[in-house]
Amino acid sequence: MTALEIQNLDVSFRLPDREAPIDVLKGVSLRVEEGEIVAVVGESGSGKTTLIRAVTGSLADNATFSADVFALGDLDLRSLSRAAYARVRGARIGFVPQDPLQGLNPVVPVGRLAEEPLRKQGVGRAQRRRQVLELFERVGLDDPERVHRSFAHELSGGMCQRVLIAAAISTRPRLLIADEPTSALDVTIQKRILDLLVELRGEIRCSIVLVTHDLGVAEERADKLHVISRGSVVESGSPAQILASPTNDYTKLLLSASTIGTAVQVAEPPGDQDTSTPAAVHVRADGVSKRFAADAQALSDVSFAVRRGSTLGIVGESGSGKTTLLRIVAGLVDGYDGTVSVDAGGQLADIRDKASHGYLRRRTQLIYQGSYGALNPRLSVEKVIEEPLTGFRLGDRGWRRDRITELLDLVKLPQETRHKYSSELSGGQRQRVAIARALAAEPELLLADEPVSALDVTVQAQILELFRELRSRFNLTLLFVSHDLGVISEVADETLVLLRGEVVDSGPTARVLRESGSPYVRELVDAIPGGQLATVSS
Amino acid sequence: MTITSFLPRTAFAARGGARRRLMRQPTFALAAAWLALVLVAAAAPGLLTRYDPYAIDEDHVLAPMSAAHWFGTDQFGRDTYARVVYGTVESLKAAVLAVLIGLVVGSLIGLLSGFVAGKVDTAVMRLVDTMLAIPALILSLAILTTLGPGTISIGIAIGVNSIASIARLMRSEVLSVKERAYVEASRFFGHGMWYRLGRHVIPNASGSVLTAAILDIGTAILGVASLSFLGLGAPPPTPEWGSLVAEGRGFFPTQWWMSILPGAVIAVSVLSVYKVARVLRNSRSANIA
Amino acid sequence: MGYLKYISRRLVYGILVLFLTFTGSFFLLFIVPGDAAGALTTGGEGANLAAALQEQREVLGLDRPIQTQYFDALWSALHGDFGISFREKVPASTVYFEAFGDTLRLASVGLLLAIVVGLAVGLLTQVVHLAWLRELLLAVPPLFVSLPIFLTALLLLQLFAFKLGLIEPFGDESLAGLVIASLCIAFPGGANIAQLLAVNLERTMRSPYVETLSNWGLTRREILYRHGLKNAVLPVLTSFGTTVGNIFAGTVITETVFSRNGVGRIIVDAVNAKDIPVVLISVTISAAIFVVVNLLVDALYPIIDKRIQVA
Repeated sequence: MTALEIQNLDVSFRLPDREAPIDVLKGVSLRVEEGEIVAVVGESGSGKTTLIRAVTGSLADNATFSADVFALGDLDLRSLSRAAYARVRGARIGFVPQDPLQGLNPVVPVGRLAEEPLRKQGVGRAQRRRQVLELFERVGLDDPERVHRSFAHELSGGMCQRVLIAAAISTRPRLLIADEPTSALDVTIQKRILDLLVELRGEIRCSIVLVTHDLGVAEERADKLHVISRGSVVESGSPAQILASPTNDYTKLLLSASTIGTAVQVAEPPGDQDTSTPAAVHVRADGVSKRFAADAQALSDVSFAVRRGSTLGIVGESGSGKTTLLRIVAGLVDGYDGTVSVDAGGQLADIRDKASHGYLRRRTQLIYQGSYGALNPRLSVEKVIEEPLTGFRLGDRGWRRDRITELLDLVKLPQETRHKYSSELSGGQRQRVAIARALAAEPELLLADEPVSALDVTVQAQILELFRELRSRFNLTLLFVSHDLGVISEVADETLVLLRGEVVDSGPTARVLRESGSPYVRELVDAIPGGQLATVSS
Repeated sequence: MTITSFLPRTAFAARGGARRRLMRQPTFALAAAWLALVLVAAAAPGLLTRYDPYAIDEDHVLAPMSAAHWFGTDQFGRDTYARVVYGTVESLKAAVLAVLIGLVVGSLIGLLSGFVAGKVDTAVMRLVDTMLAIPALILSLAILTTLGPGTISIGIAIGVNSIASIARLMRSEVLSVKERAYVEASRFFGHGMWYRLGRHVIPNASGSVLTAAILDIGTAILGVASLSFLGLGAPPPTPEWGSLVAEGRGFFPTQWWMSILPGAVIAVSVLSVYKVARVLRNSRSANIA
Repeated sequence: MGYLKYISRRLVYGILVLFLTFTGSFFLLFIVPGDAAGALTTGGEGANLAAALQEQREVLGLDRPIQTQYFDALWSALHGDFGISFREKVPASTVYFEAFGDTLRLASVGLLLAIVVGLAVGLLTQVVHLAWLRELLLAVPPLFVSLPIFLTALLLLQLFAFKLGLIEPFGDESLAGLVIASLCIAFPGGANIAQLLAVNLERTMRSPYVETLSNWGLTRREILYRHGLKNAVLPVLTSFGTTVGNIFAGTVITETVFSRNGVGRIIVDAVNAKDIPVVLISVTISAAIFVVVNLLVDALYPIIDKRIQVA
């Protein structure tokens, strides 16, 4: 029996200031059989959110849509009135939102929230409370009573997502739509939530539509996979089939860009490393500890040494202290124990010394997460890149203009970009501008804080490639912070894994990935999406 | 759940035609036109009326509205419309002075508080909270007790009221801009504190403060009119919007137009300022968000 | 516990604000050019005038050093004594509190009307389906915010006193007179509440959790009443102190136009006559009202929104 069938779905939007409507979905067809998990994979702007809204009947008023077939089981969704659709949502279609913290009303206890779908079905107060408490237990929430009266801000992201899943399945819907259910969560939590969804599918026999930007997440759990790009389904089939022989160019791009299989690819250390004459240590941390409040230990006894021209990857989940560590090295955080020293010209010296501090300000650059915050929205790209040149009083006006041209070429941005503002650039372009600015004054040490985590995977791959290229070209020392071990494995020579402020493992990246003695690190490696399949396909 | 949430931003970032779109909103165009008229009345009142606002005409005392005297005449036969037109400059002067005081003093206090932080910030914010605790009109009256009546006094008395809210807004903007990565990053570009302040913090923090100040012009016109209505403005016979309403009140209800029409001019002006300010604010946030 | 500690901290803060208000107004008022004695001394000439001024200063205690005057005034004020009204020659507190009841009545009725009408209109903007009615409801509050109170008052007077003859044009003490007079302060206050609520409801109804609830089958109206309203009312609550303050200040003009007794008129008279003790008590009590209202809001807030850390 088919749970959801869509044939030839078109959705377009009409905007007040435009003549022609904008087509957001074009001829989308997909079919979800009973008990199946179907993944829809696409990057931002691909139309996947519109697809979800079309299925849940919540498209905006300025949308027009048509489809040859658009049916939930034997129910033709096209003919439903607004009111009738409201009865289908929640009852026959369950929904798990993207960001669990934002998906919950902050001023209502989560128990009362989770009871909403059942209340809507007319279940009495006492019974729905009992049912929800049972479900809380089932989805792995300890102490359901306590959770029931908690507020969203008192729970972790993973717990919130479990609450939302419990609510979504409470009415035993035939179809569950999960909209990026794990993208706001830490990797280890991500894996557990996905496993939970798969388990529940078997238990309550519902079908699941898993919408995600992450091919890795999709291929591990899905029975069928649809890749969606610019409003059209460009590739459909079983995961194994698609990954083994993708026919579409976009899928190939997505595949090569995603971190699938890198865990295995990193079997050998990067070849451009000249191991015969080990370079001198450039940055070194000895027993660095930091506490913020009296009770919160941000970092305890962290040590590492990075040789000139090599890359240290720092991995950890949110709250692990990885950003704090980077900011200590940058000289932005005071009041820590231990020492951080840099080689400012011949020998290592504490960064709290004047000379080293000056070196940090002159020869070190920070690269931030590629969001709007990194670039001043009121300055053109040219002015942004010029900042370090004027700051260090390098060259005259003409020289600076030439230098900007050179830098734009270096980060592969077209010259027209120089007169644009950051709001007119894509996420990837903004990050390239930030890199160009960082390189302007010829730094020796780059500190990068999650520089690719805000980007789509295909863009991520390009930026990582740029990092690798620039690093070897200018012999840069790079400290690279990320929550994503997959990303780290692509750039780092050595890797340091942080858990709640402590180093759980460190050493050459390949060794950490393949034979770490730490159970936490092994869990992280397992959680790299696509790890399983990579093993199969290789 | 509008389409804006999932379309590429560039579709909206296009700035061409934004101004034309604004002017196509009929209420905005009307409000802008009215304000233009008000400015003309303040700058060159002679263009809008041929009467002298001070000319006594004992043959036409308390005349009703007519083609000759649009707003009628007062008890001395002075043309009320001319008095409204000539009164614009005093009322506007006080309102603009008020907004300037609020903007300049408030911004400086907010900038200091937000940028310096620490103890200075705490102390300044306590004072700001105290100013907010006194209802605007009461505070203005207390200040006028000291300054005595007059146009400039009214401007100061009203302006002091907006210092606190502007300071608060500026402070919160500075605090948020200060945290942005591009401000911190500029430490690594060899620039000092003043550069950070001038190039990054002030330009990015001042946008919403300026829109708030434009909105404040409306509030200031209202406040100025209220104080002038209470007889604390320029002494007679100088015309002022608020005092014209108060003068006309004596001939209520038979000559109702004497007070209602100047009152309506005030209301329409305030409404227009609010409308323009709101549209500007919305188009600004649409451009930046 | 945490809550008690939180409340007592707010209380201390409120007292600090009051103290600063008193201090600030004292120094503001007592630097009056020509000081208060000048305002009270009329008729004398030459040396005679100077002597009369000096005498008046001694009577008022203005010849003492300013800090002595200040600490005396502070100490007295703590005992409810704000000095003798220059104009009425009786204690300023007597002058003020004799009229306070009338104003309190006017302000309370105005506040009540503002809250009821404001919340209703604000809510209706999100509930009404008819497009034109919705537009109208959205357009009315900005209009009322822009109307000067004296204009509203004059229009109401014209309509109810002169056209319909329902109330006396001067100092009507009846209930109808009270309600109609309170309307002119209720309008801008209510319009403010309505605007704030409408904007926040609109914003709240666009937040991600609303989409979740909608996808669970809840109708827009259910989401609005069960979830949205509670979130959107919070900012209205936060600005409640200012609302009350403005309504209280609005009585100044209302009482003047309707020729009603009350502290509003007393303040205006005191400002014109430079009757400093009366102005001082007026400012201090206005701030006290704000402080008390805010204290109540602060006490209520963490009970409604659990995100506020009371510890």
